[in-house]
Amino acid sequence: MSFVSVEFLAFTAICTAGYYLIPKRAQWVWLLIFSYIYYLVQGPQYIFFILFATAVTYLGGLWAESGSKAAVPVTLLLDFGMLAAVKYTNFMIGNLNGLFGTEIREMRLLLPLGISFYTFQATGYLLDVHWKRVRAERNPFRFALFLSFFPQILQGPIGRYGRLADSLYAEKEFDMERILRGLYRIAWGFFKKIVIADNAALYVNTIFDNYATLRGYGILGVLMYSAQLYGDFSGGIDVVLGIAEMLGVSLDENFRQPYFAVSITDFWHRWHITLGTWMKDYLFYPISLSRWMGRFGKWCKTHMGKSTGRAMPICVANVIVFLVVGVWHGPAWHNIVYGLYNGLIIGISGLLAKNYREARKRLGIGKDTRWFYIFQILRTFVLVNISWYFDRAGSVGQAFMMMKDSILHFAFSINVVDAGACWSGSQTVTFCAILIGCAVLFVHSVMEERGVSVGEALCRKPLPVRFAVLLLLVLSLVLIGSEPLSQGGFIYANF
Amino acid sequence: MRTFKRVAIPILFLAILVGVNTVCSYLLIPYTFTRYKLHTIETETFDDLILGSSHGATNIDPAYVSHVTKRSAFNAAQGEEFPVDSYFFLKDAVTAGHAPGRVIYEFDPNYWITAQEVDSTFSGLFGEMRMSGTKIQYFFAKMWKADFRTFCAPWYFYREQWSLIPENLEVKRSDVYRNYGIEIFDTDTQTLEQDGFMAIHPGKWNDQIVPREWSEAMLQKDARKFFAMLAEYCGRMKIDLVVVTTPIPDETLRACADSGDAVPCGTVRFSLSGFYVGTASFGK
Repeated sequence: MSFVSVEFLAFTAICTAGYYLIPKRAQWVWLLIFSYIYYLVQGPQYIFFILFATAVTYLGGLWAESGSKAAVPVTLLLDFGMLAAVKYTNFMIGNLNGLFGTEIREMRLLLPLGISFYTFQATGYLLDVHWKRVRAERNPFRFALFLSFFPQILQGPIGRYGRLADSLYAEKEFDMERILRGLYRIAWGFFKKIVIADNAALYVNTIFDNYATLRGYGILGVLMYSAQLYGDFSGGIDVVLGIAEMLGVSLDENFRQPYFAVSITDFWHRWHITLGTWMKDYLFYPISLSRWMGRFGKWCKTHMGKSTGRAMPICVANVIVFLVVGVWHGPAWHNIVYGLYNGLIIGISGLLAKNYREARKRLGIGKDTRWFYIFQILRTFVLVNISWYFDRAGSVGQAFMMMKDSILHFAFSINVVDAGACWSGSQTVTFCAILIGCAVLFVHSVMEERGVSVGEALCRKPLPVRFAVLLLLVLSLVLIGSEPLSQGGFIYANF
Repeated sequence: MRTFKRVAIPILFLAILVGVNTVCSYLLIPYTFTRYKLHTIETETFDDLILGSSHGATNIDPAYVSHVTKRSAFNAAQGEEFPVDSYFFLKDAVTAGHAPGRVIYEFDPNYWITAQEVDSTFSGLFGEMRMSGTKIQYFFAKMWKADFRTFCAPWYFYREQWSLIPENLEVKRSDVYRNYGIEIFDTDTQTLEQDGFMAIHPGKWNDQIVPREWSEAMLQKDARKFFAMLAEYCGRMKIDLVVVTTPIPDETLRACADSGDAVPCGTVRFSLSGFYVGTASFGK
């Protein structure tokens, strides 16, 4: 059920209307029913996997709360085991065949929708129970709702039980203001998805899928991918947050103007925030505070000096974390390289932090130096774009070849293919639509970066102004939105 | 006053949205022969109703069929008419009280191995159908899973054609449009006839088609499903069903393969006309 389908809009409207019409104590049950209907419509064959994760984690949570030492490893093994089995088995087989010349046949495995998201949400809950941050949920149906809440199940944000549970199970009154805020957020999400991402996807697919013939268009391709990925993922998240808002459920924000980041570390504090915080809380800290890492730190201090020795364990922990981030993105080497690239930059930046500080002091660059701030943003944007080559390319080889051709055979044209070859509309119109979309997004982002919450500011405006903005957003989807060739699929829904 | 404003403004918003949408639809969506064909099968009864794709529309001449069979015939086949559309067109005719005695379904393999593209025809076939229970079923079968703009604002397929507004306006305000006339479809390359046959003028057609090889693995689930529904519905309504096909003759394919050219569309269509009506044991 695509977010941009008539079906999904009708589904959401019926769910929201019914939610406020039924007795309040049954509201969470209503959400659970709709969440499972939503998941069943995606494909009834996937239901087993989410039921398995729900049952295992629910029981694992109760077991962990009882103080058993085996509860956490056993439950993690089952949850991650299922994820690994369906997502990475064929990747392993392919690599084994390649390494040892074996001929093990790949398996025909189902990849359940949203499995990476709900597995991380489930394991986060388990560890929170284990570390006594939250109490284990007694009601299996309430827990089932926590894992399956329909707007977020396909592409997050990855929820935390401690923050999500209260608003998920609370009884809510109908509030027109909240509905309007939600509608505005949904329309804004569709704008990013349909006007920016889907239009940019036409360029991205053409350039990346024909990189051998369209040599030199790599920079245009990767810039378009920057726009596509951000518009697609954050637009999808806006739709999710908007629906949740209409239902009175507070979900965590997943983006905070990522392209205004001043470093890769900062970028990951702004991009896919819920994955970043999950990694920080459940992987980075356990690794960097582990006993073996402590011993490694001592060894580094002895052999590399105090300052490097202190930074080294953090550097190693970061590389491991981003290796996992790469693997999480998909079973392919280019994803692993993507993760390692980010991990290495963050790790090395950590090791060199002292040198940076000293160099800036010597050059007289203060914290508030404007040109340096802009330079940092641009530098980070370039580094992020390099990582997108690995993320989007079909292989590591393709990524490197495109990077090389981007420089050695640089080419730029908004008409990248013969007119009409694979584009039903005009490429100039598509390009202009992307420019308009990005300009609007840029203004929105600058305002947000300066501390103005555009959504809240809009809510304070008179009703006619708010409706006028909504009308403009809706009309822009029709006037400059991409034609629905891709049937509205979201990139992160494949995870 | 405050409550009034809170109710009035959302209603005004919806009214503006609907208004803009209606005006844009009127100005931008052109008059197509789908409107004529659907209107005809909803208002007239024929012994033979021809359904299928553009090959059927341009190669099965109802006049010739009538001449051979001595039965009345109408060709409702058209480009981008997939099995789902054929099924609902038939149902639309039947529920309008104009059930045909026989359906001649033109089977175009290409439509069974490719997914329907979401374009102006996709929404046009649906949009021109009269409001009825059948249309609601058609909506759930076709539009339900489609991008919401396809259903809510079908004019966006024509959004780059603002320059055609005067022409569209002129047509839509004319008697031709009001009376479901067909003169407007008479062009250099084709002529739509009263019986729904689309006559292609040989030598005037520049399109090229590249035939695709049939593969069982490429068979679309929906094509099979809706054709089965069409067959079942014909059986239930006591309507005879004849399935015919318009293959590209071997000699044409061979000639093109030898020369390395794509199959010329006009030639194929023209030669098929002869092949189709002239040599098939029609009606048996």
